Amino acid sequence: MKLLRLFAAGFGRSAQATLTYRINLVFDLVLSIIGLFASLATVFIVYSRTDSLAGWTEAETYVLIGTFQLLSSLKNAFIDPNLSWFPENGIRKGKLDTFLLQPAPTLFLASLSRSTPLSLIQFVLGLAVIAFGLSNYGRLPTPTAILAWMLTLVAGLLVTWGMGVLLACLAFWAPRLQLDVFYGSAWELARCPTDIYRRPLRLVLTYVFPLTLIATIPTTTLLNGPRLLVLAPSVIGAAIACLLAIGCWRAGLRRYTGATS
Amino acid sequence: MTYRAPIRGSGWKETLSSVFNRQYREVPAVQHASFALAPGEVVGFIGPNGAGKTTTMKILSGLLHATSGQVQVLGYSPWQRRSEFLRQIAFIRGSQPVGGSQELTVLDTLQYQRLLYEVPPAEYRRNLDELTELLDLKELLQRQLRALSLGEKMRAGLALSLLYRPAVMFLDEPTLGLDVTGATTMRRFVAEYAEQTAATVLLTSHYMVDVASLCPRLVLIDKGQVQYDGKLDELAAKLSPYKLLRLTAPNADEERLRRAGEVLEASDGTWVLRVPRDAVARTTAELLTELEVADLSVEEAPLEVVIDRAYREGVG
Amino acid sequence: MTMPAASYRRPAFRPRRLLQMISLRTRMEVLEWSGTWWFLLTLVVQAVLGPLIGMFVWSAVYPADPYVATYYVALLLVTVMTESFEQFTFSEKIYDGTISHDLLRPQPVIVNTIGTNIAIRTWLTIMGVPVALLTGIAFGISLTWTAILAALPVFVLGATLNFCWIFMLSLTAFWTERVHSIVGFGWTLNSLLGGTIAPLVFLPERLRDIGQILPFYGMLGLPADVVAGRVHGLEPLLTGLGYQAVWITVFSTAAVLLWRAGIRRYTVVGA
Repeated sequence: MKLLRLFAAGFGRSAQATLTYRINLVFDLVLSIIGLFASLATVFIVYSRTDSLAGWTEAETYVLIGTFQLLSSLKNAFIDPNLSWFPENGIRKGKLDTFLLQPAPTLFLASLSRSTPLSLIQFVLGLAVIAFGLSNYGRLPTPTAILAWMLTLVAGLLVTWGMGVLLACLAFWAPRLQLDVFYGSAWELARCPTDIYRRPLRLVLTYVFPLTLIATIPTTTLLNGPRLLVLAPSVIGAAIACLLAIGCWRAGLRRYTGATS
Repeated sequence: MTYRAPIRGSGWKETLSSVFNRQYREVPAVQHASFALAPGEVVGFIGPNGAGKTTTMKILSGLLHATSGQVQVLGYSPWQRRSEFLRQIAFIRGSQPVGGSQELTVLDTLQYQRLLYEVPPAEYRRNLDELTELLDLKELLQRQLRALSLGEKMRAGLALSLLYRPAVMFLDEPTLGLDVTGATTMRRFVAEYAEQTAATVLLTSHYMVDVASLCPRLVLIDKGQVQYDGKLDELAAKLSPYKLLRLTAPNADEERLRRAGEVLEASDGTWVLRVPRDAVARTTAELLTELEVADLSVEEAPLEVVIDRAYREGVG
Repeated sequence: MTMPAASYRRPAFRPRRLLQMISLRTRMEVLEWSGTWWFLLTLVVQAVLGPLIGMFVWSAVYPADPYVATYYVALLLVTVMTESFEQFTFSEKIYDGTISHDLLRPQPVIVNTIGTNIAIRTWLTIMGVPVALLTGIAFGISLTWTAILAALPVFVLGATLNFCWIFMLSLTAFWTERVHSIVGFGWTLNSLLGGTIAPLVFLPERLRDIGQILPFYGMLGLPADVVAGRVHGLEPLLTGLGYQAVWITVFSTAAVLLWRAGIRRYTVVGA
């Protein structure tokens, strides 16, 4: 409960900080709209040449793009600011000390206390794209499909958080490594249905670095209804990712508080 | 060693002895450092650069986990960083007075702090009013952190830390870079806070004024070991076997004064003599009877000189 | 100091000396950037991502067409070899005021910018070629030497054009703090109309015609198309070169004007 209140307060603080720069606000708004239109244009161009991309129709792909926008926006808003802050400021400049001294879980403070509320614009845009895709699809998803879709989204979000924390943890051992850029790049691969990737890469994206969870699995769940064979591994995978993240974080903190000056 | 919690739970006692190997150099940062603080004590923690002061403070506040030895603060093991423990301590560093987002106003940050440290609303308002008054924060509350000057940041930093009434304060060079007014405000405030709340304070500083004006007791650490632990004036007596005799005697004979002690200064009939501590009483009596003395005072050697000697030659 | 901006550029134009200074600066910068290989690697990864995704998408649409893979491998290489980062190397100097150091030197400021640009491109090329080779082998593409040689002129002009474009956008840093957003917008145009998200020939007809005229195709898609053997004969090649030359003139003129206005503003305001 306290964590939720802290999270809300942190979000409010960030929102206030953002609002102090009004021009930047407009810039970012325009830029995220342009970015969205660019990816919609891509879909449009592809489907002007073909009817099916690795088995995906145009309407399905719009839903996919929208879903990708949803999770991207959550990632940009709540995970990236912390992830990019951490190695440089947290470890190298020792700002993690401030969090260590505060009476709340350090992992929470370090991984969720910063946010860029402006990125949530993408969330709204994403919902609009999904609605557009669904209206083209011609068939509305069943309530169970929607529930299952939300479940997969939560699982995707947890995996995203877990992978982010795991990458950040590397900074405890190698402060110079800044992997968030690679994470961001790999993330872009989820923008397309993972079925288009060739076999070795596709397997990696499904099992090792589960980016299929970001857009492909939620979209198929929403459109084709829930399948236990997909849902169960997603939930289990999310749980494993979180446990791994927490474990690594603890080990990293032990190292941090044990050896620096 | 056992420790019994005092009334108000604000005391702490700790034994500490640890061997620390930094990651890259094989230099032990803190070794065999043992000392204990009574509740409500204000202790100066001094030593030359690299003596292990900050490391010790980090161990005491839970930022570092000592490789060996025992540390107890308020009855807790600091490295476990329990919420109840963290809520009762404050670690203020002059080098980074306020962390967190610099875009926010001081008031926003204070409100976040209230949530974080679970300060009840009534207490929050009372403390805030008091701090605003004492630290002269009224003008600062609505301003963004990044727009504050260093002195203002330090005041804001103090307010942020004291909002939750910590029982133990670690002050690491709190007057670093502050101007005379800022440093004085800081010192006066810490003294007042310690007196009012009976908080325990451990303070490091390279400015002896800070230590001399705030701390009756001194712990001197060097090369990771405690070199001296006791009263400030006793250290002075130990290190400086001389006192300074300042006298105004317009008609005095210089030859006579030279016999009394080493002449350090001489101008316009005012003399400063260095006299062995145990000979001060006798010399003073003699001079007063033999010479026509207009004014006479006995002074301790300046603290800076004493401490400098302690750093260079050790405590003997 | 309200010295007119023109007085900074008073020394006579001596191309030889300018080239010497640029090559000297480039050598220094190459050494300087060698320490930041990790950062350079992140740049390479970001640069190859677009072409790789494009390749996967279009290979799924046309599994049998060898053009797709060849085009995208070439495009990957062109992208890596011509990326410009003046929004970091130049604009940041305006933001933190270190451009004052450059202004005090008896040489045009652009010498350092060009030197850094070439140095970064050198490193990106060294790191990007293995990626291109691996991708080429994985997708089994074959290139001809004549096609590569034929692509050289358009490649050189394309590289110049890219620099002029990004540098021009970076100059807006004199007026706004959001230069990264502006360059990001330019980058979106590049990938949309330059041939990254789809080769120009796959675009709908109207868009394709516009794309041919706009500068973005000349920066990325045109050199890649020549390498992939999609441009037949001398005439389309010369047309492409012509468009590139026109756009280089436009952008560099705009850059000079922006620079003059900006530096006047900068020296008057002071930083």
